[in-house]
Amino acid sequence: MIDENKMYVVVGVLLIILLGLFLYLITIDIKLRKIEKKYNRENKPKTRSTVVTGK
Amino acid sequence: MRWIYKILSIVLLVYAVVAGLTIKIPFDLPVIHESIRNLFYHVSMWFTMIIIFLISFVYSLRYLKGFNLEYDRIAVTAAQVGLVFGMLGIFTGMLWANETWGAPWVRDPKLNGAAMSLLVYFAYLILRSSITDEEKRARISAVYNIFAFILMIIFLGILPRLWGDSLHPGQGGGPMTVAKLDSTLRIIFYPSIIGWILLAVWILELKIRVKRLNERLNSDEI
Repeated sequence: MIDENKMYVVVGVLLIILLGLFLYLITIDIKLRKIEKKYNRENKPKTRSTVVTGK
Repeated sequence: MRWIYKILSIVLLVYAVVAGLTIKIPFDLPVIHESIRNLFYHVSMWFTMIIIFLISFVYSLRYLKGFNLEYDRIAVTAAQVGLVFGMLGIFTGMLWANETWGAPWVRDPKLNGAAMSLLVYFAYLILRSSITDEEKRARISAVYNIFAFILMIIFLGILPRLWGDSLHPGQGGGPMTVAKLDSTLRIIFYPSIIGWILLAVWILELKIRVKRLNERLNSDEI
């Protein structure tokens, strides 16, 4: 199936889309983490409940 | 540590797309033919929606146990993410139904049940937006959310089976009941479901973190 009708082209296209979206999610995740760290640095947390954590 | 499930999600979904599109289907079903591969993607959307709504349900229960607003925040975010996957399930299903059953929407208890479930959850969001008091909104919507989950189970899991005659497999028959039991489909179907669920949890986590941060920043200003 994979050789006879160029199915691999579709698989390739979908992989690019999928990996692009994953990369996008990872970038958002990392950016958010930076902001969380910055927030925690600037607002010296007095209690545990004031710490913003990423999980 | 927190990256492990995200990487697992990526691996499983890449596998689901590559294997799901290239594997040789060992049988040829009438009408459905190669579109049986939709099982890996369309059906996964519904499984993901149900699990995310289950998370929403659990956090609404937890909210009612101690009135912690953080739990209410998780419950509403999960409902939002679940709705996105539900809509994807509806739209992918309409495309597939158009090819298989001749129309995007047919008289089928499962279709109408799915539409009803989504409406119930949209109503949850509308209910929330109509109450301004934070505590009151959290309490009322938590109670509603518990009913919403039970209604979804009835609409998707019980009523289509009681109806007895559904175009969807597992209820009234149809050609796909044969395919459901096949192990070549299962080894892609199950990893695909897990991959999509983990992806949804990832999105859910990001949304909750944004909301949490936003909440803190707003409370600091006062």
